[in-house]
Amino acid sequence: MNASSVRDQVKRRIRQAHVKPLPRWLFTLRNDAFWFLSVISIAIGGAAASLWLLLIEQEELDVYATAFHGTWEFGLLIVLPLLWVVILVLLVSLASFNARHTNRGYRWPHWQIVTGSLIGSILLGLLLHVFGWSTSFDVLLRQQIMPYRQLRELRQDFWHRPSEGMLGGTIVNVKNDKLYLRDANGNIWQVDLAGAPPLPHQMVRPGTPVRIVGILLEEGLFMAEEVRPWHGDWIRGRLPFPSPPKI
Amino acid sequence: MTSRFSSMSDEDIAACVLQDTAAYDELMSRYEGKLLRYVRRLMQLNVQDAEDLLQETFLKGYTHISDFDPSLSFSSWIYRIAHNTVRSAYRRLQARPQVEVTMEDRAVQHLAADVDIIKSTDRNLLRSKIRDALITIPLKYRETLELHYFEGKSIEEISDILQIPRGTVATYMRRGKQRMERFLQQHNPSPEQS
Repeated sequence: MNASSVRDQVKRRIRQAHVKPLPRWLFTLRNDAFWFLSVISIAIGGAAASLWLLLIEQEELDVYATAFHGTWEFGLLIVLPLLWVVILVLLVSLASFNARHTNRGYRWPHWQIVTGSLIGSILLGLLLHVFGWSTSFDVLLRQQIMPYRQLRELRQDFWHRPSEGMLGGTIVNVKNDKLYLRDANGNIWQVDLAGAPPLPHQMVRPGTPVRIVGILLEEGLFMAEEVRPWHGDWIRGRLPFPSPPKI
Repeated sequence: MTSRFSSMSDEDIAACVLQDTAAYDELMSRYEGKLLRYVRRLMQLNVQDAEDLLQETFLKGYTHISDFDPSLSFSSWIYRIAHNTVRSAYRRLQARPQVEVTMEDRAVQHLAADVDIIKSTDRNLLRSKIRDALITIPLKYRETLELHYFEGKSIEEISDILQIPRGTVATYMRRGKQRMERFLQQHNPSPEQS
């Protein structure tokens, strides 16, 4: 068989098997599907990044390390933020894989696609977090996924142990050195602030959720050594104070 | 016999294939020789095996003609299909007995100059050295060198054919040449060394 007979063979096979060109929409659909999956992966990666930011902002490892040292609860509270990082990495890999398989995706170096997807997800995550969507995702996941809810409640329960010096709740009122707080069960606590550093002015508004480290004097009476915002102030130092979470 | 497509560009003919299958015959006639040589050289195949791969390439090209992007050259697109066909048959082809495939003198001289091979006055000896060195290097490097030196493709065209970034093409070419140099140094020591 020589080269021209290759052509003859191909023509014969096309004729005999009634081979037809595949429709253009099939290839367009394939290409669009890769783009769509890439964008979706970056978007979900953004949600994962926002939840990671929410958690690292809330977690207070110094307090956990003291209270939970050497226990499985401490391990779980450390692992949860890391889990979102792992999910973010997986989604960025998926986004990069899909972007590379689009028609022109091969033209960009692999590291540029990965870096672009990562920056896209993290920027989106930051925006979602700043505008409060991370809290909504958190609430949604708590409603839908039981193990997630249990893990998150572990953290909340941690701040409802006044006998061990941890008290969490929402400010009802602040008068002189006295702070009145409603805990998760609806009980009102009087907190003595005399031994605590002065509170930032944005924290003393009624309705603000706070966490207090101190000593239980008697039922309903607590002496504060330190008052912390419910959300950390890592990012929000110069941003509007967040709306109170559901606790 | 000249077809009515003979004065048209490949890209214009490709646009006609959906309406007229004779257009595809013209494209096959333009590429069958080049692709057959490319496929044979790449895997050191006998004519029969190379023609089987060429048939598969042309059939795939026909069924996928709607996927041809006119902003690319048709040449890059059909070479890409040939490359993918060779890649999917790579394991099977490796088991086949390899044959000596003729290499064009001009391409051999060009590649020899770039890999700094010891200059040989014997044309056949030089060709044999280059072929031996090319066969030993990994396929991903060999492909870039084959496409550049034997098919005359630019870095941009190779990037479109192999679907890898241009920087990676340049890296593969450099590494391929380094491997060839190493092989040639080990197997053809200079008179002072021997």
